[in-house]
Amino acid sequence: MKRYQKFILILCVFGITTVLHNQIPIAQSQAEQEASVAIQEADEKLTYVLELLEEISNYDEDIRNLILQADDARQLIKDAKDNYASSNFTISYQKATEAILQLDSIIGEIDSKIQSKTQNKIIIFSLVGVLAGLGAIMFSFLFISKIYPWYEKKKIEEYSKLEISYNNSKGDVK
Amino acid sequence: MTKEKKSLIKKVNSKLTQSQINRIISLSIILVVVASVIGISSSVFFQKKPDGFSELSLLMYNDLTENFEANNYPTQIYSYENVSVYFMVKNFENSVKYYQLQIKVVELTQNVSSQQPISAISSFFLYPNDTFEKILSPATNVEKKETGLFAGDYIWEPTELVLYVNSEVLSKLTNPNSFKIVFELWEFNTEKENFQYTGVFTFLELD
Repeated sequence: MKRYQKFILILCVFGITTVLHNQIPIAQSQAEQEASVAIQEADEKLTYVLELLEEISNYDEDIRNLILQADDARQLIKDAKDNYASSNFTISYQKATEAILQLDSIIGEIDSKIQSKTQNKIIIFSLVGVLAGLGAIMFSFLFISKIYPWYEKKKIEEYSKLEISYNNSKGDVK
Repeated sequence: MTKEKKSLIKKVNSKLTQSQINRIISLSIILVVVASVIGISSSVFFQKKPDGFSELSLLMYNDLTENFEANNYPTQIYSYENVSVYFMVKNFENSVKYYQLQIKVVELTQNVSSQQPISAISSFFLYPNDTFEKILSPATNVEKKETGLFAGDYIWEPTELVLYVNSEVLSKLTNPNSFKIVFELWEFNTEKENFQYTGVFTFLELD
């Protein structure tokens, strides 16, 4: 019986070693894939952040700080890529995830800034539109009440100076 | 109906439409007023920005003055001695820029153009496994007037580059006694999602 126990123990150790030996490459491959996906996502987010920043017309202090943060995220992505190239997939994934979080926060801040600026623009343009409308109404009123009657009066005055002469021999008006 | 009668009717008709013409004139005046108000307001709110530019400088560090200067550039480089130069980029464009500096080694006879970057066939990268990249804010109107500055949100601070020659570099050159190191500035294009040549470059001719 003791002989069998030893044999079973050796078999168990062999089995566990085989399982572990097969599992390590699978885990490594999974980490590699996760790191690759994270780097790609981070790259896409960085491009989106740059697109948003390019749309901004006024680079105030807040926006300049966001640009500095975007550059930090770019550095994290670079570190992630370097670690990926060195097969340090876990560190690469961590760096890429950190970059994604940072870029998400930047996107949120830019969005809120753009939204508040859009609202301000709407208010300003509405005011300009209303003022232009009022100006147009006032001008029309002035034209109808003052300028047009004056023009009509002048026209009648000019017409009154005209003389109509009849040629009786032909019966036509000249 | 005689010709004279016809001409009279025409005259009367033209006088009848005179009031309509007046209305058209008044309407067009109103339209001109509205258009001018919109035009003035749009010129205030949508001001066209002047064209900007990117600046690339090559500097040397002076140990005596402890400052960077555009002077005393190396003319020779030896395999046993590395040479340090510093590059600096300033963003005088009107928008954020994601820059990349590419350092290429070419033959001395190779022409460098602001229209086209040096092709991969006629050159090779000095640092093939390293990239020099930075995102910079645009300079403000006040910053555009400043000179002699080496730090700021719109400045890629002087960055050290160690120039070297080794057997690998020399083996790629037809004439290893003299060559050119070209520094090309590229910027990221968000539409094409890749780096594009800005046309800004500088170079060092070395023996």
